[in-house]
Amino acid sequence: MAVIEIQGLTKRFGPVLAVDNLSFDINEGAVVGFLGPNGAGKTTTLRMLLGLVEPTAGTALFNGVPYRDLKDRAHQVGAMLEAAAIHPRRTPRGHLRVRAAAARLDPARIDAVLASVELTDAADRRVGQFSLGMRQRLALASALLGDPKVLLLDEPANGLDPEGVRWLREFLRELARKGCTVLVSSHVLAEVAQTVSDVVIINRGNLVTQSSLDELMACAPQPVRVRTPKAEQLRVALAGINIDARLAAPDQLEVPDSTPERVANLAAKLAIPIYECAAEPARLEDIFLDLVNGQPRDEVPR
Amino acid sequence: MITAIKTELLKIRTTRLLVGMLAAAAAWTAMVCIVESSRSGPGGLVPALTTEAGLRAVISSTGFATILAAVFGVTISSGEFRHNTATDTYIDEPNRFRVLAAKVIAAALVGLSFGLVGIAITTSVGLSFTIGNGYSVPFGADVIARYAAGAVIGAGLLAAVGAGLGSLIRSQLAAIIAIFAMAFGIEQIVGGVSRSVAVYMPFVSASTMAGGSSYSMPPLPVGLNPLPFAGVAALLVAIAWLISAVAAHTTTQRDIT
Repeated sequence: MAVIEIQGLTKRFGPVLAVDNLSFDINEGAVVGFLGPNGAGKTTTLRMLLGLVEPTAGTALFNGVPYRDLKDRAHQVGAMLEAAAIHPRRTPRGHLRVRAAAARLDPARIDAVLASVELTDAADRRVGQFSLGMRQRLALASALLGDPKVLLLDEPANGLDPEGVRWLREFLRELARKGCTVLVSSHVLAEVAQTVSDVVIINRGNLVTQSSLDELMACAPQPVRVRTPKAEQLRVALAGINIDARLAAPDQLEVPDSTPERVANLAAKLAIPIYECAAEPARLEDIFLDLVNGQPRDEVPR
Repeated sequence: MITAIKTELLKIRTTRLLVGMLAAAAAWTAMVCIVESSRSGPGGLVPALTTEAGLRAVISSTGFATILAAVFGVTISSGEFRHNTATDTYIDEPNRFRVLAAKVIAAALVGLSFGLVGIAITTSVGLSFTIGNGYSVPFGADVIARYAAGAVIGAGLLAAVGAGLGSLIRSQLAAIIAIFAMAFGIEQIVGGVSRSVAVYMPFVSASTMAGGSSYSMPPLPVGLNPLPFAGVAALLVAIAWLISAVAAHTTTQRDIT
């Protein structure tokens, strides 16, 4: 069942078409990467979902209703849009008290969410003294305050150091284990690839693809990399059976559209020694970049 | 609506801005009325404290506290855009009209404290100088109570005006400049040109509520014929309502980006 439904969503800022007739659904319990390069329209889409930006056309609904009409909103949807957008003079506890009061939530949740983002020790320090990573954690804590069923996270890894990115990854996995539906935007696929089950990729406000991560990986090319002292001889032999191989180094061949077995068998027939022969793992970033650069793969579900 | 107002009041309590601004209002007011009191009498800044005009000038010099109340009102609403906290505010409460109304009401409630601080200081200083010099107080407690009520209500209403203005202009700096330009520039000029129009100016009218005169600080135009107390209060409510209505209209139209 779709908990988020986006239909024909369009937003025009003067002459700029930020989001163009975008449609996709997010099912309950899915952890979805909302991907696209900077300026693709991700943030505008999330803001339209939350009623902060008025769509020029189309609808963005949670369980069939606009965000503003949701009953018990804080328990339905949590959102983290701007980590830096916290009053610098407030403490994390003060900030969460305000959010809890506004959403009529039990203040007892404050300590729980502070603990979940590992900010208990800093709960009474001014937010102005925080690093970006700490602010990101606090923003996450705010989003979790109502223990929502759906979480919208806009570029949560922005500005995080590698340790912070790892922490975030674990955090999102934990949310997924709890059955939370998560829509997490990013401009770096690798950042969320280890966490999400599905992806929605947009570019210039248009949907490029929506698929499961497995489907996306399956359609990725996995060229065979061969290390042999007779690379040129093998390349010519492969050309003889209509396989275009490329010399990656004097002793290395890159063979697209083939399998390690096929290449190794041919080499064995010709008594060409092989030191190494394996299919390269799919590079998600390459798929992502190909997709957003307008080189759609036929196999990718659209 | 009650939740929204409580939230706005909590926002105010969770930063130190109110304390800082009240301290500034207290210091500014104290400095002004101490100078006035110590330089009262013939050839001084205000008439002698033995006269009604002299003591009234000191006690009604709550104008600077009132101006800071308006500035505080501005910060309540424009601060959301300055610190980008408007996003969270509208996520928690998507009804923007309700948010603005809560801010205006919260500003009015907290703004009362600026008037209270102002009148407490001016009255204390004025009476201390008068009684300390062995003079008799030239008017009764009822007059002081009326000035106090005017100062407190005026500050609350101007804080509400400030909250509406801050939401309308959004730029905190521009809104604060607008407040000072109005209080020290436009209203003074209008007062010099037309006393009949000046009484409808927000800071002048608030000052008349608190017993302000041409000797008060900031001074009112000479020969001003002030509106009745209730009329001034109604005028300030109308100004706050008008600015807030325009702000509400523009706020609901604007995207929070």
